[in-house]
Amino acid sequence: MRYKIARGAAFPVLVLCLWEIGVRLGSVDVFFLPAPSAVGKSFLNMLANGLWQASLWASLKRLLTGFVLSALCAVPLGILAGKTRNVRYWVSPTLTFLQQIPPIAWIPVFILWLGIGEASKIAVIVYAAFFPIFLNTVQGVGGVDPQLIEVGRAFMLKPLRMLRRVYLPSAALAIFTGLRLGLSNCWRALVGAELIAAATGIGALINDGRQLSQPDKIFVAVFTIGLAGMLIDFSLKKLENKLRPGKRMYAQGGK
Amino acid sequence: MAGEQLKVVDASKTFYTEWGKVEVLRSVSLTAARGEFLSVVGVSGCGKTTLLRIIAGLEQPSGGEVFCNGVRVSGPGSDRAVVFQEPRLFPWLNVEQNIAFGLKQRNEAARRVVEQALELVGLSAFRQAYPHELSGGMAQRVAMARALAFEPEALLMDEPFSALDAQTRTHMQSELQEIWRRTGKTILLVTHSIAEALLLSQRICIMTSAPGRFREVVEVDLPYPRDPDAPEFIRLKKYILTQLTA
Repeated sequence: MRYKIARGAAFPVLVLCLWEIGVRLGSVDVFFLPAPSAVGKSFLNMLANGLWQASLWASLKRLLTGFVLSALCAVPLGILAGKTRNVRYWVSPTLTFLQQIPPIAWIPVFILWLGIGEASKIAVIVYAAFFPIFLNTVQGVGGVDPQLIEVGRAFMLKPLRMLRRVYLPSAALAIFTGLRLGLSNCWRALVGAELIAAATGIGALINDGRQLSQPDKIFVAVFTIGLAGMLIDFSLKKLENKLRPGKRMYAQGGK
Repeated sequence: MAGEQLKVVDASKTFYTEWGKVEVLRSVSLTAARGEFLSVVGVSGCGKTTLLRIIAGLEQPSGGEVFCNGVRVSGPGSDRAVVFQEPRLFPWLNVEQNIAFGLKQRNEAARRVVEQALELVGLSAFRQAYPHELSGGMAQRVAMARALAFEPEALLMDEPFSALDAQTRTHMQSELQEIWRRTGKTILLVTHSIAEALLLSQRICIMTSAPGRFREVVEVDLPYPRDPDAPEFIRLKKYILTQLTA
């Protein structure tokens, strides 16, 4: 584990060193590229006056609200579409069309409809998370072993029990993968949304840095985005692996 | 007749595929008395599985009717339970939970039923095991226990031992016979093995293929447990074989 972390960190550390040396030697203009040490100092400053925590918290709050809303729509709809081939046929071209449009492209529209406040940003997140969650749920529910469904039929399970006892456990891992991908998608889209229209949040921090010509601030924000995203993904993957023994059983069971 | 458990009257089935229609069953009739062990023997693809699925209510016949206990079958029912060719266990449930799958309640009575079924198939020690930890024979025994725990009047078995090795198979056959003796259930066994049918059943329906039809119903009047080396057993086996391939 420790070795894995060291191995993964080697390259970024090397880049940071070269970067620092480059700046110190005067071969790059600090206005374009502040030294890592300057970025670090700026980070400590923001930490001291609370700006960093407040920005991150503002972003995370939006992320969670939007994500939960999105999952609450996407999972049930995905189950419905996964179970009924007809629903799939009717909606899938539309969804493929919508999927091509990056969430950020909708921002102006959402602002027009929902105003400049929280609602428009949350709408972007809902949109961004929806497709991975929905599509994975459809795939998971649509891929349930028909032989197991037949066992449910033979034992006269009513639709709701069939869902709870056959479909959902079968599709659990696929749904979870969708949630994980959805959350990563959200995080990226959120920063985009904040960049365009927000007074708070990590994206807004970047905007501040740009307008006030404080590139160090921009770098703090950019690194925060990357690290927070990594952390979110990492913890969800851990959780997913906890679910995976079920997957292994699934592959080998019912032989 | 009061003693009739299962009754199939002129059942036929035609599947419509992209290449045209396929007649799988033509006018098949059978009757199984309550507590009877009845087998249907036929070569692969003769439609015997389709017949079983129709009796189970998983498939609708194109013509004819099925009755269970005098009531017309229109779908799966609590009076019949199926053991499929594959165990079809739920991989995320352990043995105990798999057996309890068909039960509506989770009370003391249900617990007792599961306990009984576990004991009947000799898997009490493996109640906590998951399907991927079981051998093929054990998994199929769980499937049998699941069907028994459903407390049906008739057990419908679709080549339940065909995926097992010869030794396990022999073992499972004598276990099934014991289960039949102890529970007194009506059992309909579909198999391609003449020896299996002869070993276990009181009557054997011989089915020919394309389309599936009954050629003859053979009474097996041999005492249990049966000896596959007995002259009468061998004579019947030869006779059924000629009927099947004729």
